[in-house]
Amino acid sequence: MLGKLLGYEMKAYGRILVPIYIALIALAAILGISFKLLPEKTTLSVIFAFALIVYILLLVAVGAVTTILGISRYYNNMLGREGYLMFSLPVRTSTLMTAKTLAALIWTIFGAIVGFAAIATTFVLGKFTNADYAQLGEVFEMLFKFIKPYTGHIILWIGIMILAVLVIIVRVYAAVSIGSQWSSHRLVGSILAYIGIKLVEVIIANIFQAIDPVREWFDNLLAKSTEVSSFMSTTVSTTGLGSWALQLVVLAIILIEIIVYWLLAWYFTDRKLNLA
Amino acid sequence: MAAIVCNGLTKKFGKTTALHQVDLKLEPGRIVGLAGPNGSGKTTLIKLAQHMLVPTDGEIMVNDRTPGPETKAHVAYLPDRDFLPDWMKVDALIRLYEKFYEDFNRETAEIMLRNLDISPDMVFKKMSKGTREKVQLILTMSRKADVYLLDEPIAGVDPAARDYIIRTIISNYNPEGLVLISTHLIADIESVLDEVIFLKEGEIVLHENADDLRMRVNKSVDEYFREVFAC
Repeated sequence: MLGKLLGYEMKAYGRILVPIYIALIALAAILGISFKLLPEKTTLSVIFAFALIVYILLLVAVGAVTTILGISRYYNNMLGREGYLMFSLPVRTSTLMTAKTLAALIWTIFGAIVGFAAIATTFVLGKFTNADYAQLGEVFEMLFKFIKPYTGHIILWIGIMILAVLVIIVRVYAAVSIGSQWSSHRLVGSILAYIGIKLVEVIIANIFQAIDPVREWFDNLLAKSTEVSSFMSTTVSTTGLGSWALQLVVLAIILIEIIVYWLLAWYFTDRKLNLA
Repeated sequence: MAAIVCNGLTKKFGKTTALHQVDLKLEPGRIVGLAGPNGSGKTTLIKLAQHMLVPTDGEIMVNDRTPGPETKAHVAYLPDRDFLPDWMKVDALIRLYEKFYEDFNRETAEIMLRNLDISPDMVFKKMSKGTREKVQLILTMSRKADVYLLDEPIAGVDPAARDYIIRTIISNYNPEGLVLISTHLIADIESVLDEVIFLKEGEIVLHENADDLRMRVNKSVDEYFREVFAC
């Protein structure tokens, strides 16, 4: 059933996001070609400037629409009138939530990839010469040489980054689930719940920082995790890049957050469901 | 095996008691009218049977099971509002039902849609309110379910549409299943009811065979309803 639900969710996102992604890539390509073809000062520069603004706006829109859609798919489709359909399906609440979460995560990753792809398209189609490509190749080669010893750590950091996106998603779901307990002004309730959750997070972080042994242990961990390396004739600080201990601590904090927000969202959605 | 059983079922929302100590047993193969004024607890009872609410006290069983995914697979539920994704076409909605409900019969749905000249390419949000209600009813009644929970299926539609809705229910439900219809428009559905339940302020004040009730009070169910719930 999870696969079926995920397919349904992916379609619901795709019908809005795919056209935006295509528009972004197309505009990136047009902009890149314009870079290449147009002389520096041309009468078409106004059109070019306009296209550039639209391109940047589309780039921002990809992020904004993905975020808003992620919230709206939970707010309307789970806890709004469409919730009557979703909660009539022969699936557990946790399965519904998993499908929503995975779809939001996958589309966020897609969005980031498309954003990078758009920028790359402009560069590649733009004023890139063979010499530029050769230089770029050298930079990448040096970069790979620099990060090679940290490969395992970098893979783990990418995993942590994906989990950090997941934290944001489930935190929003928890806030919306709490906000939906209000019979009216549910959006206001959700925003207030989100602020409340962040406030509790800050208080807990401050409490831990106020405990001297904990603060000292963490400072010590950070100091141990810092190395100074050389990259392209410059010295760079690689805090945490090669520290399993620091990574495991960050991973543990993120996993705790995911579990807590997930359980909060599940409790208010399954045990205290209040459909609009 | 009873289709729905409630034992001391109570649901409170804060200090408000929506249902209080409800004991109820509904057998399959019956069409039951759940009648009561607004706020009497009809929708709450139906939502509890669908695990859209959790009891504060007591229990509710559907097909001898606590409501959950297993019971939802055999319960066809029609809420009292538009509930389908409005961006979807009729054909996509049929596929959705087909995908999630094993007891859904595509042929039945397509015949009913054809009879009403509803094209599979129509988008849900572009339909009139009456057509949307009919599509929702058609999808619900195209399932061969053990229990049909129909929450105010005829409220808010014109009399012609009401007749169509009642005809659709009668000619498509699984005769071995239970049909529970919540309404405050008794007159329109009285003729099809086997049993009647009156809910008042969260308590069952009457549960009786419809014919027996008419004989006993020498009135139509609708007339008796108006008497019981007179303001």
